[in-house]
Amino acid sequence: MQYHIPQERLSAYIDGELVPEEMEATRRHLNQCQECMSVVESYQAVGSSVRALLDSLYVPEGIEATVLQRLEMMSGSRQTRHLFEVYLAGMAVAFFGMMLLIISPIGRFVRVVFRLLAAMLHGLLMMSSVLQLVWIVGVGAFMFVVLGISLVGIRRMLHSIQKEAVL
Amino acid sequence: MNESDVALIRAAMSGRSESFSTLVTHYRNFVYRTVYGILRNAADAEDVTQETFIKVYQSLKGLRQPETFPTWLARTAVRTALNWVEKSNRSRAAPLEGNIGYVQRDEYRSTQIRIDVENALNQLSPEHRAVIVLRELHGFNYEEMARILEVPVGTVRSRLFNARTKLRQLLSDERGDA
Ligand SMILES: [Zn+2]
Repeated sequence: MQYHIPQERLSAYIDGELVPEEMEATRRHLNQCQECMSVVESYQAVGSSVRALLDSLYVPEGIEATVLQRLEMMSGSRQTRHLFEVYLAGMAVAFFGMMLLIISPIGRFVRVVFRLLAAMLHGLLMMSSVLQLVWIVGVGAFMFVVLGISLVGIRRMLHSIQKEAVL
Repeated sequence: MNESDVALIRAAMSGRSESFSTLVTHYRNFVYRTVYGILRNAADAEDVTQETFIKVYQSLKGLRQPETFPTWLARTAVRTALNWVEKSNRSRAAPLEGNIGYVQRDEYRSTQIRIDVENALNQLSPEHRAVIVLRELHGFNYEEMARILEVPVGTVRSRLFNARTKLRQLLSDERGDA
């Protein structure tokens, strides 16, 4: 054999990555040339020792659990951010709505209604001063219970939203 | 990849979390060994494996054909690992040496050979390690490797050749010294 096959071509030959004619020519050369054959074998040995090393690798358990946990946390924080955005948007809409109402002709009507309500409230306050302390305490307790019930309701609703958000 | 894996990937793509969890279980060794081969450090490999699956979860819906999943997954894993190397090169000067994390197996008992291969791999560049892992561990062809590494097929061929030659040199040097 006068010419040996370039080593890069031998490397590609091992991987079956030469065109068919080159594959065939290389195979024929290797049948006759011990020198090139030993190059092929040395590359194959390198490959199998790397494979053996990585195959014997211990893969830590619990990767799945950690991945799912991290995804859950991410979806949770996204949910919180989402709620906050909704809240901000709601505030903005309410604010501009108020401004519009005050400026528009409806605003005048609203102001009249507002004054009416204020007068009613004033009347109620006057009444309370006439009423006995027992009544005031009673009304106060009633308001407190209603407020508590609605707070519990809101908490439950938020809780169920978060549960749904988990993946 | 078999039929049931394709079905599993389809189910995970449609957003079923149990399917995604099973998918992670099926491909956890695939990803971990790939990134360990590049990173050479158990703690980093675990972080990058997690990172890879989180990216997979976020972009799984964009996968056109489930049949290309292994190539796509390998690309995500290799890219995440190489980015990690780049980032940690900026933050710390010397790479961590990690010779832990192996189980003794009957077919691979010789500790000395293992250490030699470890040391030789440590001296390759991350890009050379990536190409070796993709070919020797997973058996991807050049076309697939070119897509995974985003380089031309000719570059895959020469890079693999250089990596093999360097490894062979390092291994024979180490055996000569011993
Ligand atoms: Zn020859």
